[in-house]
Amino acid sequence: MSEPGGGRARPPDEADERLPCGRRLDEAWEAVTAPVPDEHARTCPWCADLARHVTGLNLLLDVPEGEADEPGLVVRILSEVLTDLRSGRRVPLAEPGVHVGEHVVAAAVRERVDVVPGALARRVRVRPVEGSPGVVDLVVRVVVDHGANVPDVAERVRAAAALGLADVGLTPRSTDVDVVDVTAPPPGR
Amino acid sequence: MVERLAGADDATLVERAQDGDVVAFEVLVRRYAPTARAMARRVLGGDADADDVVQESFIAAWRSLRTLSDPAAFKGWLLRTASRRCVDVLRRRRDSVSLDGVDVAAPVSTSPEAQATMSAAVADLDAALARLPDAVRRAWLFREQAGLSYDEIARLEQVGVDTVRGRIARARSGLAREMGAWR
Repeated sequence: MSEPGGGRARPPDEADERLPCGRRLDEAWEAVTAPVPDEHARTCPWCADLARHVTGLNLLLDVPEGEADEPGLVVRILSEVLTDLRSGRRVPLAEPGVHVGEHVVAAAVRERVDVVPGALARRVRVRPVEGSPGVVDLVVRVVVDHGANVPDVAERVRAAAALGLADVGLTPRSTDVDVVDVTAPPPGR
Repeated sequence: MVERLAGADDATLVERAQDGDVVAFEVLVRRYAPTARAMARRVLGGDADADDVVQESFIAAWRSLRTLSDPAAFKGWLLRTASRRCVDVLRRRRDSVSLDGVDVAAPVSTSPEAQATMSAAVADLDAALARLPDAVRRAWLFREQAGLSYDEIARLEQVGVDTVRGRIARARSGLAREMGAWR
């Protein structure tokens, strides 16, 4: 066991290095980063000092480098993504032999839903109704802004979703609106 | 709409991306590519491999997005994927079964111009990290930046949990000393 604090002249056994409070550095590091720091970590000034150090390091880790937002990288990722999308699932329209990509339907619905004040679309599930081309069952999950009237927003979302389906030539057999979250309005940018 | 999505939470973006909303996915890419790239560069050195890791990680994420049951967990999920891919790259480079004892070049920092714009503190951290042995640096980055558990790191590196624990302790000690912690 080494003395508390270790020493600069003698390289300490790193796994056993201790803070001046006697806690092993490694143990103290885990404790101050735990979701719920223990009693010692909350009250010890040495551990508080370490906590500031750790927080500082973690902030530095996430500092984007100057050129980190390299446009080429983002473009390469998104172009693969777009290629994938084009091979996705299809929904039959009423006209025989005409289909529309599921992601296109979802996009049309989202576009209408997003302009409903107080609503932001999340998942949009489209299920073709067997034997009825052009008819779908729809589930729209939305986040509603804090303070909005939920039933009122939900009703507008339902109407907006029907418009979105109509934009791509579909009609709903059923439309479920699922309010999955209520949030504060997103911060302006 | 793009502005509004730029401020949306991860869960909203992931759910939209699960339905093929490319704009939502783009926001996620822009939000987390810098972190993933910084981690990959610190683990791998060099730029090109790090960029490949980031690109492959995001595309893999996109393709298995529907399997992500907790959309709010996107960041951890992505960085876990990126960590695995970093280790794959190192294995390919060294053609080695175990990374134990394998040494790669210390991370090439950045071009002089980029260096100039990088804050001094980040440069200090990178320098301190570069002085750590590779396996020690990786373990710390996987733990602190990617949020992996000791067990996950042990499986990834094919070493025991105690070895991982020792490496992380060593990294913390080195960084605390070099980055001016409590002393």
